[in-house]
Amino acid sequence: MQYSNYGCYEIEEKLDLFFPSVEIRIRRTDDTNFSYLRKDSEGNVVEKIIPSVSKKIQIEVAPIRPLNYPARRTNFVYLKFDKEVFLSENASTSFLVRCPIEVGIFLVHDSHKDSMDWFTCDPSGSRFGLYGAPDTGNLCKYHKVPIVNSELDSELHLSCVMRISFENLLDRGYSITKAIFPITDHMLYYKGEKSQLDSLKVTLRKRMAVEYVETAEVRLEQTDWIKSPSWEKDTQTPSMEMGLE
Amino acid sequence: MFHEVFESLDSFTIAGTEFSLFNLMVGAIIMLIGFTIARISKSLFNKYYAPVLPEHTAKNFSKLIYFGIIIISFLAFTTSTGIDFSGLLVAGGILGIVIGFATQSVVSNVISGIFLLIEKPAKQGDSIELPDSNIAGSFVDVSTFSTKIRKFDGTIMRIPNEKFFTSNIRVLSDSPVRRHEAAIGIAYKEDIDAAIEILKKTIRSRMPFVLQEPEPTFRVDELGDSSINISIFVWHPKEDWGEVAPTLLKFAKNTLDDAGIEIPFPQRVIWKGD
Repeated sequence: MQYSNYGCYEIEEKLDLFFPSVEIRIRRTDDTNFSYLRKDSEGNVVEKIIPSVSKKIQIEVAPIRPLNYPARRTNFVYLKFDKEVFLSENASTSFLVRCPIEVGIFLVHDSHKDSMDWFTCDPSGSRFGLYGAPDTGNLCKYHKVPIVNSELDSELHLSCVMRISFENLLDRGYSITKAIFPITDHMLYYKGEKSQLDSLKVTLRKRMAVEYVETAEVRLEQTDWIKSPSWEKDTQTPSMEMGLE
Repeated sequence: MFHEVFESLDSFTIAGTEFSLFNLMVGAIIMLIGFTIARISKSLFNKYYAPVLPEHTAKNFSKLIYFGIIIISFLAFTTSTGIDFSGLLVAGGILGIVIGFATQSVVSNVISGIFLLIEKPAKQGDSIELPDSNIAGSFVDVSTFSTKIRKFDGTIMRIPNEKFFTSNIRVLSDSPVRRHEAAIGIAYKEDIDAAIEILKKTIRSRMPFVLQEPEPTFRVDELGDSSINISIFVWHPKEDWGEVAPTLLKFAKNTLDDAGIEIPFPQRVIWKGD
């Protein structure tokens, strides 16, 4: 099946959108109202009424951060790589990983984009994980992610691509198996059916005798990719330090 | 002019202390100003500072400010009117002892309340449990004499501060995650590893609130009378106990049933001799 692309859609009478295991139907019901219906493969149905005084409405389908399913509990994601990356002392590297996304539906009016609905096309892949000890650790959205070769390796409505740069300033080599960071610092971008996330820079450091990880987000340079509207409140953590596990 | 007029008014004596109408009016004005300042200060505090403080802390600070200013006003009033309390001290001391004995538990509750405010064993809204009293619910407030807990059935339980302070308190929502455990038995003829593997798969696919890191663990606990008893340990976000605990055993049983793995019930074989 051909799935609907990301982007803006104008609706005068009706619109059908198709996603992996999810369908959306928008219909004009009368002069001032549209109906919105989302149905997934498990039979869950969400229905809304969209009042509108104009003849047509515009919606935007965009990738959003994978934080909402099954419930919004955290700003952090825990990406567990499918392969270990070994970084020798004083070395640096960068690679691309496929990071899961959710899909947001935004109502566009008067240059505003209002969050109207969200869903995930991969509910079985959206789980929680803990980084650290149960009493002091960070609850994260947990995803096992593959390392990929190209920025275009994202999957429509399922994943985006993210570049992670590692720099090892420790006096020994280190095996990297995961990345944990507040994803609300990162913006998503899309073009057609592809999507990508702001990059992450990770530095392994040592202060006195304590080894720690410093993470910081790196904004994507100006491109022709379209910036996704934000579902959650964006955050801006200049850099973050975490213990090394 | 006014001063002379008031000074000229009659004075009178109570318990050896001379009062003039002028002094009493000054005292009344001081008390009035004191009440006004106390009310304004309380309102300003409630408007600007209380919203950023935990509710019970804000309430107690608000009371402290209000009554603090009134007590200061009262002291100013007694000074201005020349009331001498030294005569009352001896009688007050004896009375204090009597009242102290009579209100021992009240005072104890007040003191325990102060210690609870200092120690802060739980925050407002935390899920807590008092295992000794078999009380569990959401922590509401510490007030002057008692602590309130909203039980999970929606009712409010009032616990005297002293009892709460000396109880064992289990805070259920202080950590970001909690662990839940359940036990299930399989028949002796079944393959333990296969049963565990199928339970793992079900939990991963059907229970979205169960953490994948740390992943669910399984432990063969006992070779029981009728079954091999397996304990299941799963972690979940602290808010989502209700999504995991009540359904874990249901999913486990349904999974084992679907896989044809027997969950035995106690059986006794009786041999009848000739």
